[in-house]
Amino acid sequence: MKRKLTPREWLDDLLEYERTHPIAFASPGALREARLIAELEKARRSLRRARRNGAPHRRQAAVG
Amino acid sequence: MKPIIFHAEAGGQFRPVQLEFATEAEVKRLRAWRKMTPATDAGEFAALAAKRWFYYAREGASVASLNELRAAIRRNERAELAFLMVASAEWAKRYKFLALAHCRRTWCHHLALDFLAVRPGVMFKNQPISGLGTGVLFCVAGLAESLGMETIWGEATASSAPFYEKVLQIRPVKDVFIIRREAMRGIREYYLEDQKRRLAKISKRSHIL
Repeated sequence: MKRKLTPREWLDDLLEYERTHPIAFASPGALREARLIAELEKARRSLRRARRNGAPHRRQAAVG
Repeated sequence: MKPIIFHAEAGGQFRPVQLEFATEAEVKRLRAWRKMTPATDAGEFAALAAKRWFYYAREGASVASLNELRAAIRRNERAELAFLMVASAEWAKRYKFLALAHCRRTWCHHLALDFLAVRPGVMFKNQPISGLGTGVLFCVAGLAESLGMETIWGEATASSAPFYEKVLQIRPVKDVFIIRREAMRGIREYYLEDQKRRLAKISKRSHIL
């Protein structure tokens, strides 16, 4: 069984880990949502730009 | 609210770093991480964490201080609220922010950690600064405890699981890590005990000099 590290060994280990590994972590769920938000904003921005440039508003397709 | 202070190793010494709630202007500035070259995950995550913060802000669900967080909880105890914590240091002024954590207070008063990132390539006296990720995580845990939260949780990935295993001293961490209040208190005490010891050593050394 692995022995429990002393506070000093434990923090040394953590510091060494941080020196050698980038700390950049995202929860996959949060990342997915944030990317979706970014995509939606991009789409909204390009729609606004198109409208400013005189493109006609998209009409809702008639049902039936 | 006074900033939360922790210590990181920089230039062979333990130096104070402050962690605060990001204001709207600071969240905007965080997006600049994305422009860093080469492109990094941390850069992307900072920009996306900012996007999430603004998305919540449009719904009135982002907070920029502890007082705002407490007030929002008082108004609606089932509110889901987002906040961004940013770390900075007087001695590392060339970097506006050293690290960030995007957190959510969930409807049942738990804390979800969505993003944790350290600015890539942070150096002091030509040496990497170390201990920022750990420090931010423990300060966020302290904040959760002060708010009376029972649980901190997050989703882990192949790259983050080894870090959380080391910090939390639990093995293995798989898809999700859950830290209960008691466990977090134990690990924080462990962390603070060693920080105190290291700081005492430094002050003793400077006293001798």
